Amino acid sequence: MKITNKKNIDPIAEAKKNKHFKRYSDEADVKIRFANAVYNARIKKGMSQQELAKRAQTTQKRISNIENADIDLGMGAIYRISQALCFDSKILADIFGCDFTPLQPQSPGVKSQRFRESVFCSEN
Amino acid sequence: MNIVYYYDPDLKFCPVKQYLSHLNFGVAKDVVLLATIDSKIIFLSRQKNHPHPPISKSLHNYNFFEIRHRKNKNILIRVIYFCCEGKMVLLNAFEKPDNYNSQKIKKDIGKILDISANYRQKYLKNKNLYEDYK
Repeated sequence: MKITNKKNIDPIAEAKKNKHFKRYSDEADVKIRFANAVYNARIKKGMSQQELAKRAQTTQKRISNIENADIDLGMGAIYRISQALCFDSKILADIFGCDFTPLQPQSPGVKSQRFRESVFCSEN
Repeated sequence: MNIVYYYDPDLKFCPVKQYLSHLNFGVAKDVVLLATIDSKIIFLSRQKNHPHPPISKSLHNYNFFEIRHRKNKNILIRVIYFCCEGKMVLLNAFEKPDNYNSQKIKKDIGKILDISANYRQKYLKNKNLYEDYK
């Protein structure tokens, strides 16, 4: 039997009443997934936070904050870190909660034909 | 894994709830903080009995883990938890300064961790000492 104390309000439950809580929560989930991906990729590559910071043109403290999911990042920082860790489209799709459908390999001729069709058809 | 707050029968409150109650639910910055801590707790509850660095780490000489969160530029929040019989038990929470060297601060943090170890012992003796995390 659990013990309940009604006088002691639940702060998380109270915060959930805020109309923006869901949005904040979704944003936090993305930060956590990005933090996790950065940490795992960095460890897998045997890189220190200092090395990653140098490659991504940022500071070690910022990398530490990113890995702890403590800060909001701009597009520039996300791009530089993703490049430094060679994130592929599947990893990025997982982080941002997008569907990922790998494209079938195709010959360059077919690709350029499709590109021309998409450009010229959209103009018409 | 079910998430629960440890309830202390002597204090008559849940230490983690007590700490989080100091935040202002009407201020966006604090709601963001609570939403992020909530997301981290939920994320960790899916990781079974293991800490998941860098979001959480185990502590030397203690049988529990800490969730790491930054409150602002100079203050860090630590939420202490452990896992027991399919429950993630939130034991204690506190703030500490970033980059401290002072022996007094180290001693104070040591005291908080010892208190948290005591909470853990009390919980293990009586596994009904909890409140649900909603």
